[in-house]
Amino acid sequence: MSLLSVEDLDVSFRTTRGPVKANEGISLEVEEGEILALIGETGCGKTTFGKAILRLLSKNVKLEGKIFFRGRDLLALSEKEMRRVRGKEIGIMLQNPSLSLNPVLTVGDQIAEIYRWHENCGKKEAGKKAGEMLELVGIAPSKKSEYPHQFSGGMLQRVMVAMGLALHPGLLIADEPTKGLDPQTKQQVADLISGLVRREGSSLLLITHDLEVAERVADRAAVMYAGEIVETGSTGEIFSSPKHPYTRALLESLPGKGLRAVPGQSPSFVSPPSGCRYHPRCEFRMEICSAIRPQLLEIEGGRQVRCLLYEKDAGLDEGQETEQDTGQCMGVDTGQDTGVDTGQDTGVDTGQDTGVDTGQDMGVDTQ
Amino acid sequence: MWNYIAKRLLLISVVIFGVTLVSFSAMYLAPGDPAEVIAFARYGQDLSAEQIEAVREAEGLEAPAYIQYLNWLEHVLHLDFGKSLISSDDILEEILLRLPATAELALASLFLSLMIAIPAGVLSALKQNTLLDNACVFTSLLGVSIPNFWFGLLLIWLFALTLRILPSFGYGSLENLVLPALTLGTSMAAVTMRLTRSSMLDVLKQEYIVAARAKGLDERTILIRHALKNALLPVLTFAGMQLGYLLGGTVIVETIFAWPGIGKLLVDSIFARDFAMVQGCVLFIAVLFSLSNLAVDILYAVLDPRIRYDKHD
Amino acid sequence: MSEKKLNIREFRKNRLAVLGVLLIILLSSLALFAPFISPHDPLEQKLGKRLEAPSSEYPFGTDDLGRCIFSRVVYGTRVSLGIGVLVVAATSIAGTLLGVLSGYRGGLFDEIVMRGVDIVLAFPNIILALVIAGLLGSGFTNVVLALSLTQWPVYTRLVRGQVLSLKKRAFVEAARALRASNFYIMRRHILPNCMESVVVLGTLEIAHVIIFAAALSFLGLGIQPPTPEWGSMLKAGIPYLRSAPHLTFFPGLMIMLTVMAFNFAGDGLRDCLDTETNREVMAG
Repeated sequence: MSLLSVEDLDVSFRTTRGPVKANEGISLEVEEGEILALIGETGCGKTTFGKAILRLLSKNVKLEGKIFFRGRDLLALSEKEMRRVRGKEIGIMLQNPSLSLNPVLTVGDQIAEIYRWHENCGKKEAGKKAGEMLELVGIAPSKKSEYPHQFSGGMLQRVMVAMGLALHPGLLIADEPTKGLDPQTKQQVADLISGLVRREGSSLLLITHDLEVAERVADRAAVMYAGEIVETGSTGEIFSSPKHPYTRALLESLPGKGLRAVPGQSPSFVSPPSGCRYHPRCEFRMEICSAIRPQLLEIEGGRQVRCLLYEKDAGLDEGQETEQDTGQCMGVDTGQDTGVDTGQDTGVDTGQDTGVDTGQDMGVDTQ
Repeated sequence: MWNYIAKRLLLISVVIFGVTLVSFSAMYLAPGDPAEVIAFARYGQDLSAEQIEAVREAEGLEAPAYIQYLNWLEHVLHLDFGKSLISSDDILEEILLRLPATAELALASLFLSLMIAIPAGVLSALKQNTLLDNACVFTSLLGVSIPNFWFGLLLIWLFALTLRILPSFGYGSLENLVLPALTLGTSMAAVTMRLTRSSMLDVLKQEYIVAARAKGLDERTILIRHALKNALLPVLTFAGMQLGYLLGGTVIVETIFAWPGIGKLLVDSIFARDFAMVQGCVLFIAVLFSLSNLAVDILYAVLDPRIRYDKHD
Repeated sequence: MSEKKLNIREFRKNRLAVLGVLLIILLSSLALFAPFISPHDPLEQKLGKRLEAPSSEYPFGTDDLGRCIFSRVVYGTRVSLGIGVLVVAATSIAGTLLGVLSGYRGGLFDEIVMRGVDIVLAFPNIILALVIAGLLGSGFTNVVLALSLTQWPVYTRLVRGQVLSLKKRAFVEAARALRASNFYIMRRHILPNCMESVVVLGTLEIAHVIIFAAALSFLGLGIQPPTPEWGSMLKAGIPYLRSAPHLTFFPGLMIMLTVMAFNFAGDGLRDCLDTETNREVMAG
């Protein structure tokens, strides 16, 4: 049984412009002792997802689906039961430590209150424990009597780690822990978090838009776009052979790999694109992509992809194939060779052949 | 923090200096011949020109303005505000005699106002857009718009004249204090409530409140430990404005309820054309106001850790 | 850069604000058409009909000199609105200009102006106005003068704050780079951006001024009888508070309604501004 198992989670907000779905059909699993990176660009809904797990979203939100943690559906718990989960079984590091810490309380107090609340510690004992946590994350315990504005960005991030791990939760959710830090500090913080988490045998859900950090630290990765999961797999596999066009584009945007920006703009949540949400920006888009919304399907090697390019290849399609089979021969050749030799004679020789035969059947039948 | 306080002190000194200038002008620019007024008060109806001139010389009233100002300022620094034009009583003495009454009224009103406004503001913010909130907001809008002199009269009509359970004027017992304090306090409460509410609403939207919830704390603990202190700090900064309203309000309320305070003294002096007394009162009140503002600023500096502990480099 | 266009639509959603505007229109009509609306001459005394309760002939009853209170209240609108508009017009213009100059030029000039502001604000509002009115004497012009001298600083402070932050904005730097004259920059770039908050402050200030003016009259300075003015009418009604409360009730109610109208409208305008300007106007 997975530590965390999210099943078909929908998160929608009631706004003046109508309901907005920030997360749709999210299904995800985090195993014991595993580090899973949730990757995506700013605004794609990953922070909302992180907060949704602990039900920290505002009152006008509707959560549908199931979130199983150690076998219990968190969405079915009462608020009182949920409070016992927060901090103790699942810890979270929110974005922007300078905003997530109360400016009028000392850093030590803000860590100590976790002990006083959950473990009924006395003031002195809790203060001592807070000092120990600070030391664990590399801050002198004497600093516990200082205020957040007296700390640097990197130090504040460490404080957030201390707060998240204070009660040694089974799962830590870290929301953009390296945002706004310089490269060296980024690595330090990333290593600190992953190091501590591994030591405890806990799991980590790392929410980030920073691919390098994800690659450095995570076992597995899930890519999110416009509120949906579009690809999952082990970190190594995803980074070496990305399947979804968006993942590819993301990787190409890295300094080391081309620094090509992902074209186009993030889609609106109020009126998302029809069909596949990525199609307006996709360099491999086909005509059917604007009409049909692809499902997240498993392809070989335990990987999942949400893309019509891989439809035919999907083994476990759960009987949804009939929706995707238009019965038409699309005859659309994008003119771009994806670099994969389909092994089928398409009868159309575009004259461009990059010569890479992955031996996989792409499932694109251009006849 | 000391930096901050030192700057405020310097500023206050300059302001107080300016205040003395303005106060002096009150007397200097007053219509009529001050020598004549003083002479009249001393010698009565039949004044001869010689008597007036004698007074003029004795009081140094022929000197140019700035000399008179400096003379007066020197006296003031020695805590000699001069004598009343009418009664020849020592001005500072008269003011200090009435200070307790004004202080009593001011403090009672402030206390009442805070007791009403802060719980109402907090509750209103917590239960935003419910009936309670809407009722509070509307009531406060009413309270802000109602003239306190009319409100005072209404209260007198209701409690003193119709129900006859409270006196309509006078000074001495707790009973006397109720209506004046209610008058002054409720109008202040309206403003304070609005401020508390909006400040609280602001705070509740902050990330550190979500962070507190993420630790598993319950709403009550979050409110008391995290929200309140942050929400009440801005209310404190506006306390300065409130004090101004308070001091100004005492003028009206004391007049309506015949409350023997400094405000009433000021109004009476104006009508009596006793501009020396007017000058003294105005100076006293303005200095009092400035010093209270300074006190509030210092209090704020102490309470807000961001100012108390300047950022280390 | 003008957010005013958005405001009107937002404004309409705010029911209280709309109510406020309607009330203002109603009150202005009362002022303008007073001779047609009042059933009687506000100055006419009928000593045989003193202190009569409200009736069909005298909707608000009569006062201690037999004058129709309703007519006096209606004519009083002229006085109060007149003072409000005049004082706010004068102070907002003068205060804003001073604030723009002070904020833009900075330096010693700025320091002096701000100390002037601090000094005037060191006196609790009404006390300074009281003393000035006491020195000048009662009467319409004197009230306007007294209140103008005490109310200008709030605009200066507000506008100066805005100018200081505007100075740093890119479009001002750009204008400077293009060698635009200081006067031009102030006129085209700085001033228009301050106008929204000045309008909000001005609306709320009308409410303040009306109360102050009434308070001055109530205390015996300001406007005095026989001119119909709500504050002095309140004062006249005090001796008859028990026997004829309608003398005090109606004028006071009018003050409250008028002030409410401007407060609602001003609040509504303020809610339409963005949050940054919001906070400064609140502080002002």
